[in-house]
Amino acid sequence: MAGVLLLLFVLQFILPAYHHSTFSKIMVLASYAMGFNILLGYTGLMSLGHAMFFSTGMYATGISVYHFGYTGIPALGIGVLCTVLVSMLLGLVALRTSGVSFLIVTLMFGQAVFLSILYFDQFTLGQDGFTLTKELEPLVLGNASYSYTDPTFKYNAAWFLFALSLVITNILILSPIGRVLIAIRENEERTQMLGYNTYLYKLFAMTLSGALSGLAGSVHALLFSYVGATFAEIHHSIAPLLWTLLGGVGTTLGPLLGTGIMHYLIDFTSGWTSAYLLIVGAILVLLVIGAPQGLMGLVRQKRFPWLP
Amino acid sequence: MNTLLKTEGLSKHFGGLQAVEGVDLDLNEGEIRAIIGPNGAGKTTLVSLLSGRLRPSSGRIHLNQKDITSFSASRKVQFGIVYTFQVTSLFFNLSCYENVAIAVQGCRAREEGFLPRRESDIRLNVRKVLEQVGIQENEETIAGNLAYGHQRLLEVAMGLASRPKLLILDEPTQGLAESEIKHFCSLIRGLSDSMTILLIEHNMQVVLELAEQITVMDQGRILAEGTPSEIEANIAVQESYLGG
Amino acid sequence: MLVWFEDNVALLFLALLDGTVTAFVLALIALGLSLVFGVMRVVNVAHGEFFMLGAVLAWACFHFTGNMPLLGFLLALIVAPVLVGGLAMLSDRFILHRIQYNPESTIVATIGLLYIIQQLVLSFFGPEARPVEAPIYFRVQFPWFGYSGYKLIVAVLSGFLLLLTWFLMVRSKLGLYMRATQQDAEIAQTFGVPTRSVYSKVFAIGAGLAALAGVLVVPIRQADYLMGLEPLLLSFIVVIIGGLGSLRGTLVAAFIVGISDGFISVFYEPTLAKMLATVLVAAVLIVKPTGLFGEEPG
Repeated sequence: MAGVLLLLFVLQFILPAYHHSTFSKIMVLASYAMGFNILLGYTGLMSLGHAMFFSTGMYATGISVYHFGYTGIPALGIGVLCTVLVSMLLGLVALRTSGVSFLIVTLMFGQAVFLSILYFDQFTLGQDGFTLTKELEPLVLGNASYSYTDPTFKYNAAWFLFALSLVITNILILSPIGRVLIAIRENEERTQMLGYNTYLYKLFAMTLSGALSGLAGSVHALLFSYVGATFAEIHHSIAPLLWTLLGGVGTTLGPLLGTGIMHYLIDFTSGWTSAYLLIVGAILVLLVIGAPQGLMGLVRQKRFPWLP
Repeated sequence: MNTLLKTEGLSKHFGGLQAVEGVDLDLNEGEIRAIIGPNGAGKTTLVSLLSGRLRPSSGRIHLNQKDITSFSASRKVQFGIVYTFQVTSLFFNLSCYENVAIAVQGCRAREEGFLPRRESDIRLNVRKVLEQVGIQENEETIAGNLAYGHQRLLEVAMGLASRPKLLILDEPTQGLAESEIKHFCSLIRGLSDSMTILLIEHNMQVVLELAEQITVMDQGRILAEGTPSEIEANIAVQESYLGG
Repeated sequence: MLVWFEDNVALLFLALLDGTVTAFVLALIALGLSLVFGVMRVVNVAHGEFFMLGAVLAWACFHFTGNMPLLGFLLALIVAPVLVGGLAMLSDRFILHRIQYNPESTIVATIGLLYIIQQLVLSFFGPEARPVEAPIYFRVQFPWFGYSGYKLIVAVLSGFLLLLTWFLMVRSKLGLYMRATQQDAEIAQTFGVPTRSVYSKVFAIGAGLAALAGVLVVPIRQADYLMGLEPLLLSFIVVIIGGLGSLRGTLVAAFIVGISDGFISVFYEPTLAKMLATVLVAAVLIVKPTGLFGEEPG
């Protein structure tokens, strides 16, 4: 894992400009997927509404900068705070259900958040969204000033976020709490019958998962400037599911792999057809029939059982 | 002897079906009690009510004079009522070590608060329990790959790891070979010094060997209670077994 | 209060009418989803796309019959459910059966199916919304306004189809098999119920109901490749409120949701209606996590 991080860090010096910015984006979105994976891969709860966490972070941060003139770091803090609140509230309601009902409830709340963004368009500028480039002042760290639009800064900030997500996920899995989450995934009733209040644990997982996704959203807003309603749509909730499945649910590096592959695949196919979602759909179906553990999962099964 | 568990008028019905009706049960601390009865008598339903898997329709449950009727299953476990499943319910994809570790960890959390538990502490306890039950060589084996008999033992191990005051065993010897049953009986006899045991069993030999008191159920009610010899002689019991 | 009522009687009545039509159609769509869940224990996320396909196929039928909308309508009533039901059967055979109806995998697979169907329609039908003429045009005159007679026919036909489905469930052999499988699939199988073929047929019926709803609705709103999403979400709301697996719950909830949607849409914005529906679901779940008529676990 340290190896992967090092590799990614070094890559920024080699990659040509186009791939440079793509990798930045991939790392931020992979963090989103990793947040999602905490809930699906490790706790066993599938949510179809994660876009609401991502967009809460994105809009909270975006609005702080755009309407209230905050600088980057405080705006980031606000973004995370709002997302934690939203995740907890949602958890309190949604976790009273499980399985299919949970899925549907998260889907619906995700949709409700999307609609709210459109409805309250005095703040959110509705369907069009807004950009932060003018309002966002450069970040000041010590004596140096970094512009958010500078590609090198973007890459390193994205890398930092990704590294953070990786560290958090790892600490979680190896911790006692992680052990309980996995137990819940494997057999929730048995876990309850061993004395655990599974509701609280699930609430924790949901809050952490949402917070990480929201953090990714906030960072995305700061680094890539555009804040828009598309990030709250259902497709943006299905996206981390797709990336995680492809890369491997319940593996640490799976989300990164899946996000990366899908980005390049979509890039490639939208070259010759606008119906690239067809390919996405086909991949989902094939994955589920043939390789439900995803690519990393396959690798782990066949060759390296020690992979986390 | 102290009364550990007392139920008053415990009942459960599902729609039109009365599964358990008006059960008054008194369990003494440290005893081994067996519950026997024909299929459908309500035995598993009764222990599900005791362990919190099901909510009673009416009646009360008291543990050490404390009313625990409305407690959730996980809360009941925290108070010491531990249930091992009739249909084996393990973490089939995890190793035996992990299975027991999860139980141990939960238990230590209750006893020692939220200080981070060191894995070495947990490992000690896991190994102790595995040895007690007799499956320590299978520590690394994935639970789903174990032989059936060993899976049943793992169930018991997880129950033990939860440090129960009342250990409820639901048909534990079902499907076990003779030698495994013998091993199981000596295990249970060894445990009765430190906990109360409630045993649902169809195997009359096991019942007669282990039980100090027997409760006979039929059609959701308690038919008879007494020592093994009393029950053997009881005509009503013979009829219910022959008849149903 | 009374004055407001008098002033707004017309609007209230309009809301009631619109709400009732919505409720009937929604009941039809949600019933398909609920049947599939009740018998097969899986959620079909592509359910809305079956609805959309019905609408698109209806457009094709109308297009085919040129100047005779009534003929086109009748043709669509037959063609759409058959074709869409057939597609559903194929999906069941080649996808759902392969993944052994595993709940999580089915959700992912049907999401994939959703994308595939949507994009294929996009490629062949195009992104525009296309209007379809109503097969019968007449207005029913109420004291305050004229109301589209066709909409009333839609409600009547939906009600008829709902009755037909109920009849099927209660009187036919397939219905018996379906109810048995819903109770306990394993036991049903040991009694000789051909569960595999029952699953195929149930999936097809669910899809067919959605497709029929699409045919009925398309003259009221135009056909476009994205129209499946909204009915899907509304059906989910209905099924959650009514309780997964309860047919009675689905019907009751469809009416609650349909009529409130009608009222709120007339007096406020439709967007608000959807948001409030979500809040309603949250309220129901907080009080009763299994829905109004849902089965209590244990």
